[in-house]
Amino acid sequence: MKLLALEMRWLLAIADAILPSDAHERLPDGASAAPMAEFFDDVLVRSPLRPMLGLRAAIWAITLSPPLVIRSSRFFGGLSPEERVRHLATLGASEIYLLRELPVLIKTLALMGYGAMPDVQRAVGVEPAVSQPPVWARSEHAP
Amino acid sequence: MIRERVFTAADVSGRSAVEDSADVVIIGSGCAGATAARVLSECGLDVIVVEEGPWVKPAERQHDTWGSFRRSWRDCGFQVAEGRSLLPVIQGRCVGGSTAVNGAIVHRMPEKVLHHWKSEFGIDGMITMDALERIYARLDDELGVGAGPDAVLGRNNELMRKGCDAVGITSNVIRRNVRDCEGSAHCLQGCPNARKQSMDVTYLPRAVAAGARLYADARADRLVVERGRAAAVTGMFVDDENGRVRTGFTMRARRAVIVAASAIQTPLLLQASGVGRISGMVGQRLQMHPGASMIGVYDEPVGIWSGISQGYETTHWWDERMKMESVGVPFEVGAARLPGYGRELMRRIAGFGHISQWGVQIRSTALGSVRRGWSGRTVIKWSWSPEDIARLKIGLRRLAEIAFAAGAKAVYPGIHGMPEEVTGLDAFAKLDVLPDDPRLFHGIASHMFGTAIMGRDPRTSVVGLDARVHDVNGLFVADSSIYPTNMGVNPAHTICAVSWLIAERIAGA
Repeated sequence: MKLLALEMRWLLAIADAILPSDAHERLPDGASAAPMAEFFDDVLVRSPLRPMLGLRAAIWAITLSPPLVIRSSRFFGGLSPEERVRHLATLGASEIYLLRELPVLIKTLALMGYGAMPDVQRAVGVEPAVSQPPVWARSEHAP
Repeated sequence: MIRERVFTAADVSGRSAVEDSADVVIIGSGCAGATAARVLSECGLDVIVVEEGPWVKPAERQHDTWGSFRRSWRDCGFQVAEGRSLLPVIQGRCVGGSTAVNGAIVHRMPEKVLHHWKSEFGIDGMITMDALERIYARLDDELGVGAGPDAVLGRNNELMRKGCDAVGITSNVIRRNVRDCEGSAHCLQGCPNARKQSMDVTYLPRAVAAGARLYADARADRLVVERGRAAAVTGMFVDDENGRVRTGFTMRARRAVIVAASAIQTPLLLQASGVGRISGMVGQRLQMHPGASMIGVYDEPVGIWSGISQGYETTHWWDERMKMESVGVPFEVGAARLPGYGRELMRRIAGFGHISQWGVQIRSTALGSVRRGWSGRTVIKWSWSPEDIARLKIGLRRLAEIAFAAGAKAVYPGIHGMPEEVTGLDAFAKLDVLPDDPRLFHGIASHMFGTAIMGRDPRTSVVGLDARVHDVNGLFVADSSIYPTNMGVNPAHTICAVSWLIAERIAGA
């Protein structure tokens, strides 16, 4: 399965909100500095259809639900970084099981891509850190 | 492994069909299939092993988790059981099966479980404690079983030992099938150093050296029965990289077909082939070992990324149907269990070097089912029983107690309805008032059993006491599908032993 360009933009925005840049002195680079589009593309192509439909549903639901979840007049793309995090945290604490699983799915996937980058592992102190980016990330986009 | 006797989809590309024949055709190359192949081929029988997944050599193992999931795990790690909650069900799907990506944990059959099988299900004869002990001794020797050395244990495991000692419960370094472990904590991605004595580096090479042929990327679709006897296995080679079907195959069996594809895949193959249907039990009575983990946060560095992935355990509360073990998952997986989003999450990620992670595994009482869905997908129906959840709550509270006793300054319970971060055991009183609802927890399941159970009576079981499918001559099931219940401990060693006994009987037949 492949995402529409619009859906990939939304997904990258969500990943960036989950793992923001300049959020911690040891981790200056967030998801936006990692080749997350390449990672998500690889996941989508390789994985079974149903969970990827779930990912697609999560992207749409998270993107379009701020008016319902945090009473914002804007969709996810129009929120400030703080509002984005509040929206994700509110969804993640929802009393409705499927709603709170939406950001968990994207968080889990995003960390699998972000956390595999050598610079990130070195910054966290993983010893030994991987010596080179994973196969899906071997491009000029690697941080 | 002798390359000339291993065939992949790339090797047969361009051929219209692949046909081969042997005394015994084995479906699946995990602990059951590989052990049967090792025994039968060294008894002088001609053996074919058919494996759906790819052949991932140790040098090709990816260090990143997604790289491992995409090549070596069933459904890229996305397989789930559907019930009140969605429960990930983890399985390997590669040459060596789950042994290539498990924690290499070795346990023997608990006597109480075997006694229960005998008294409740009438299972005796071939599977006795004496017979198992004889095989366990061979397995221990051949697969390098022993407790991990302290030198490579790692702090995650040491802290669990410290906590268990402080609480005053029995605990131990886990016995594992690993030789000269380097403590790289990469068990779950597939050991890059080939130290883990998984089937792809032990029994499969032995079987191939003794003349067996191994077909990888080869998905078995049907068992062919002729005149009441298992005669062949048909299927397709599927390219691992792009999912394209390349070439059909037919593997003919002169003496026997052994299905050893796991308690998920075995019943699907039996169902698709219309065999074993007398009892209506194929795909029923699915049992598992579900569990959940707890993260501890320490002032001291832990470095969960080094040491033995799963090196320490306590079976102190085994009679209460629970077992705890350390769970050294890779950074990119462990970090996803940290609470929060945004800046708060990044702060916790930066402190990842100071966390421990341990899990509680429940000997569940729930029964589920496996079947093929309308679109061809695998449908696993299973839900935690209320008793399971009650035990899980107790187990998680006990894990927290061990963590605090080991010096944790906080734990992340990972339970909906509790605070994200807890600094004292008193907070767990809240667990008592939470409902026994599986949707409150982030569980995971491994070790599947019981979807083609063994028994004397064809009306209530799928295979007889010799593991032969009741209604088909020459067709055997050798994996944990035939176990009437779960075991409460990691089953790989017992699956090897039981498969060995089945293979011995076939060789002597």
